[in-house]
Amino acid sequence: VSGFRQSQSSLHTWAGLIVGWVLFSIFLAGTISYWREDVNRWMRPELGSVESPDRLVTGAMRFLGRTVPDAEAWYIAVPERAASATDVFWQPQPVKGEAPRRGRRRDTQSLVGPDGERVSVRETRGGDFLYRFHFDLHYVPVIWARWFVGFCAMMMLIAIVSGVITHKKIFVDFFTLRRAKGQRSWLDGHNALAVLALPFHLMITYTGLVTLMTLYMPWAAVANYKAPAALFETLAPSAGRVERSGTPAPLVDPVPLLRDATLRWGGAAVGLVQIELPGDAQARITLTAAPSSGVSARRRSLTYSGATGRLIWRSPDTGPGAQTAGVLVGLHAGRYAPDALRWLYFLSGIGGTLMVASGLVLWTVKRREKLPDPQRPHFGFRLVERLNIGFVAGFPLAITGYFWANRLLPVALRSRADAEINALFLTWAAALACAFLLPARKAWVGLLALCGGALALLPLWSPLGPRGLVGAAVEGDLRMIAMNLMLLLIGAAFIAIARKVARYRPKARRSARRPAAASPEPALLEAAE
Amino acid sequence: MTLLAFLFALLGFVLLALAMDRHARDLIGRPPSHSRRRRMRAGAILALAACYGLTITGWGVVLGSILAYALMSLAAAVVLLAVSHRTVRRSGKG
Repeated sequence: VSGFRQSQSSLHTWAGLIVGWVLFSIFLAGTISYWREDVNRWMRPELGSVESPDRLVTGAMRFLGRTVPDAEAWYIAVPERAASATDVFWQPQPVKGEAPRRGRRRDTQSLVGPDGERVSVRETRGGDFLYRFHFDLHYVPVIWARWFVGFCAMMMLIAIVSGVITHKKIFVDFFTLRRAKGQRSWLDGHNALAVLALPFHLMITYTGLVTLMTLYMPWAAVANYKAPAALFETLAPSAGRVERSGTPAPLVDPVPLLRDATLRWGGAAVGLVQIELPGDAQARITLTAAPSSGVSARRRSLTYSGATGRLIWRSPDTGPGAQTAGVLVGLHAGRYAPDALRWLYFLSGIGGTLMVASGLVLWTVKRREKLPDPQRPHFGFRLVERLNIGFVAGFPLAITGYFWANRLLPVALRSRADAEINALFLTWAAALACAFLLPARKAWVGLLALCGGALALLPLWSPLGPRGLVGAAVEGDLRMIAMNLMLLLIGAAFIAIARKVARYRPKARRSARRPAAASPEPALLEAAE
Repeated sequence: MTLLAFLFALLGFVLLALAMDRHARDLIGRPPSHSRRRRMRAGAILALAACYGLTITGWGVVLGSILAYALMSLAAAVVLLAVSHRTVRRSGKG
């Protein structure tokens, strides 16, 4: 049995290490994504007061009817959380002899206010970028990135299961966190973060893989469905395609339909309005339920005739397979979750991020004492140590750089959104360079302190503005007040960690003076390893 | 309702910690007797059941189940930090 446990321990160590840095970044970006809408709003200070969804839909309809009356389809996102504008998308009519253009969404989307005018805000991808990054990465083709992220998630699953097997005293050590004991404390901390939120870690990793299952494991789908469209029709049924009649007909007002849908769904709100062939006699209005309507990511929809407003189709109950996948994906994204639960998701995500980080640091802590010459460690040790600094301290700093770029770049800058993202990666590259060039302790302390200071100063930038510490408080904008306080709090936490690292004196010298105190430890450690 | 559920979860995990030799010694100075330990564990299970009962009455079965688990995780983390903190202080004094 001990041989088995030993093999699991090695598996845990190495499966965790090789993907640990990427996992840390994925966990952190994914965790922030639980507040995506709020980060979006925080990064667009131009957005004004909160508006009712009905007024936003009316404004969006006026905008679309004026600018793209002949589009193939219109899409209006109905915001659920505090919003002062709404995202609209449209699909232009296909041009004969030209393949439909894909991936150029920026030309066919707009942010529209209740007055039906395009809202002029600074160009930014806001929290959406962090959300995309956590499975699409950046600068690499999306499919490669997703395969790579999937591989990392699979290794994470292996690391979790082998970690549970390795940790033989899960229940005895359940509440154990021995402080100021060097390696013992790191191990306790890593175990505590892992065990306390173990169901969350398992769920988030497994369901993360499920979100992209048709990419990773297409065989079942390929064997059963000839065309990809047939599969998607099974997973997300729709009322089917309509042909343009050519007879113009005025479109009914969709706002009363929103109420009708909510009534039919027993109170669930509408999250998306989709209008096919607007202005044609065959027009259709499809309403899809909002994320808060249920755990499952596959949501109910109703289709109405655009000319008469009569209900013509309702989505059937999907099969148990599609339903299970929908619930698993929904659990992962947490979009259904009301704020209280969203906070717990966020905390669990931070726990997962810290678990990965502590595992990475633990690798070096464990090996440092065994080094033949601690002053000149071997290449592998140095590489891991430096990458740890560059990711664990460097990626949070890079995100902070992204937030600062959002505040500092001129509003009128060309391709400003890309410039913000480049700022993120430039900051990260600089952090990695510091990690490899400076002595380890200096790099840790410097990067952590810089990150903490820069985070804490963000709410103080233009403090009287709508997103500033004072401005948001005066307006009583609770969500932005919370965002500012979190930035201050997390900044303070980074500074506290930097202070701890700066004050830390390596244990090797102390334990050399007091060999008696250290003697019972190694046996414990070997057993727990 | 949610706050009450959280307090029950806290109570449950405090009892579970006190039912363990090491933590009982650190927190109240002596390990619990056999029967006392059994009573505390039973109490802990009741408290956690109460937490679950409260969340599903307030939030429905689906959301309540998820929330109950999340609250229990948070409560266990709070108890762990408190136990760890107390232990440091006591060993610092002694």
